[in-house]
Amino acid sequence: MSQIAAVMWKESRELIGARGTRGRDGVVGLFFLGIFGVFSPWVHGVSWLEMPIMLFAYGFLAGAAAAAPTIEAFAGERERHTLETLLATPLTDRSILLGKFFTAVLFGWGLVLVIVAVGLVSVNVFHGHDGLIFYRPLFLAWTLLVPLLAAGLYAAVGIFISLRAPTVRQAGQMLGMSIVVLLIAPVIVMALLPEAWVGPFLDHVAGLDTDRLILRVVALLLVLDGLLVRAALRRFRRGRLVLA
Amino acid sequence: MTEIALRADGLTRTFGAFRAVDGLGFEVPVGSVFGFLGPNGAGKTTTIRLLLGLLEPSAGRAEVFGLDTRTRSDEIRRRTGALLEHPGLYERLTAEQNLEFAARARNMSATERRSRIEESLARIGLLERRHEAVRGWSRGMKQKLAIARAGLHRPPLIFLDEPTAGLDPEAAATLRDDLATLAARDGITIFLTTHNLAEAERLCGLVGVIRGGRLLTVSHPDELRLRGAGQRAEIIGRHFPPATDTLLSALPGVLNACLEGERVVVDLAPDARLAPLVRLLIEAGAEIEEARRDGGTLEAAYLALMAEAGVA
Repeated sequence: MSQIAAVMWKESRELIGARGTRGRDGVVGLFFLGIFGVFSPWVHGVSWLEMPIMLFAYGFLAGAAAAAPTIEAFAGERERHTLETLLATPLTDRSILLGKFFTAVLFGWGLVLVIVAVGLVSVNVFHGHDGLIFYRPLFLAWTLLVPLLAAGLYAAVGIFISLRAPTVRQAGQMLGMSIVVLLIAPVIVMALLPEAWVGPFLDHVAGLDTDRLILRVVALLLVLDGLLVRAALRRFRRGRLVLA
Repeated sequence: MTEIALRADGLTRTFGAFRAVDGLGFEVPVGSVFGFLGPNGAGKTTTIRLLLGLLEPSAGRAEVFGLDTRTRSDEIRRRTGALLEHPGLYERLTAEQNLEFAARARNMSATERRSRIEESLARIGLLERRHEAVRGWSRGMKQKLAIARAGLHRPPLIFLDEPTAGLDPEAAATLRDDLATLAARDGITIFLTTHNLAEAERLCGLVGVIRGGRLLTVSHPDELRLRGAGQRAEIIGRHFPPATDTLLSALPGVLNACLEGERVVVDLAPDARLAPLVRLLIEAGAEIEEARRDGGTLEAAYLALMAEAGVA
């Protein structure tokens, strides 16, 4: 655990120290904070606390934020000639990989938590005339879990790509393509499946209440996260990384 | 019995058909400075990677403090420090943070981290600049910091790949002194690659010369230097007897002698010594100011080895 913490310590300081991009990232962050943390609660009022679409938005935001540092995870270290020195430390393969993964996940998730917190304040300021407005417990759980797992999914994809990519630029391009694939894959799969399968599936989904549907999405994300992290761990080989 | 820090036996690494390291065999005693010399692409960096367990050998084996590099590489990396081809510093981090990470990676306690980092930065004269990001630093400053990082946890073995590259002469000399002290006082073993033969001569107790992945020789620098010593000698002085040429040529091991004013140039057979010639000339009434052989530097020996290997 202390080795994972050591890698997370380094990664988080590198994230903070990325001076060239700090201003731009700050503006982008403020934009999303304004849209999802202020504007949306103001417009939708109390129903903002129950909107499944918000879960999708949080998941996407957390994922995008988590993916950015993972591009640099290995490709960046390789490009800046720090990878071999990192590999020459006694840090285990698992601690290096998981340290980078958890930092990215926490970064993406943390960003969404800030937005959610600001949103709660906003909805109470704008609409909380009759007392404190808050999530119902299950929806709060979804609001916390969906962005966490989405951040995990994107971070795992990012790390997997970063392990293979020779440069940050190439890793970025591959990640961009992967995100597009992740987003449109369900649509393509549905289009390719026979009508006899799709119809009953859609009926089944339509028959589910929101919580059950979200539960299935959460379960799917959990499985995907696990599989991708496992694949990345198997892919991590010091000798291969040194020579790449 | 001498304790061995590093041992390679038939160590080989291939990349496809290319043999980057080919059957290396050597031993490095504990507490010595081992200089690994060779041209670019000779296999020096690959050897360090093999010894650190970053690469697996294709054949043969290597041990670091008796630990097999194939199976105990984590333990080897715990007991060693390394400055590799590049300083490998995180440029967005400050000098202090770079060392802090190295210390955390080795599970050092907070108190130990603080004191070691401060001590290391003070020793290399960078304590005042510890809060600066290393991004804007000169190559020499980065190199100093990277070397400090390699020794931060006081490992019994340090690998240094071209440590004085990019350092100014004063800093290079200080570093050489530091390394000599580390080896002599603290018994730390140093495995050093360098192109600077004068540095190797001054610092190393043992040198290995590698070319094309093959180890050409391992010996003490003095022995190696003598191998490269020229067979021509020069004796400078006054009052040489008129028959100096004949007198010296009669001695065993002297192939030719020629008096040229106030100096005598002598061609010697291999293994012939200069001292008997000087003694004979003094007995014949000459006043000798200086007697020296040509060459005799590690550089000459190294170049001769390279030429031999090239021909072979």
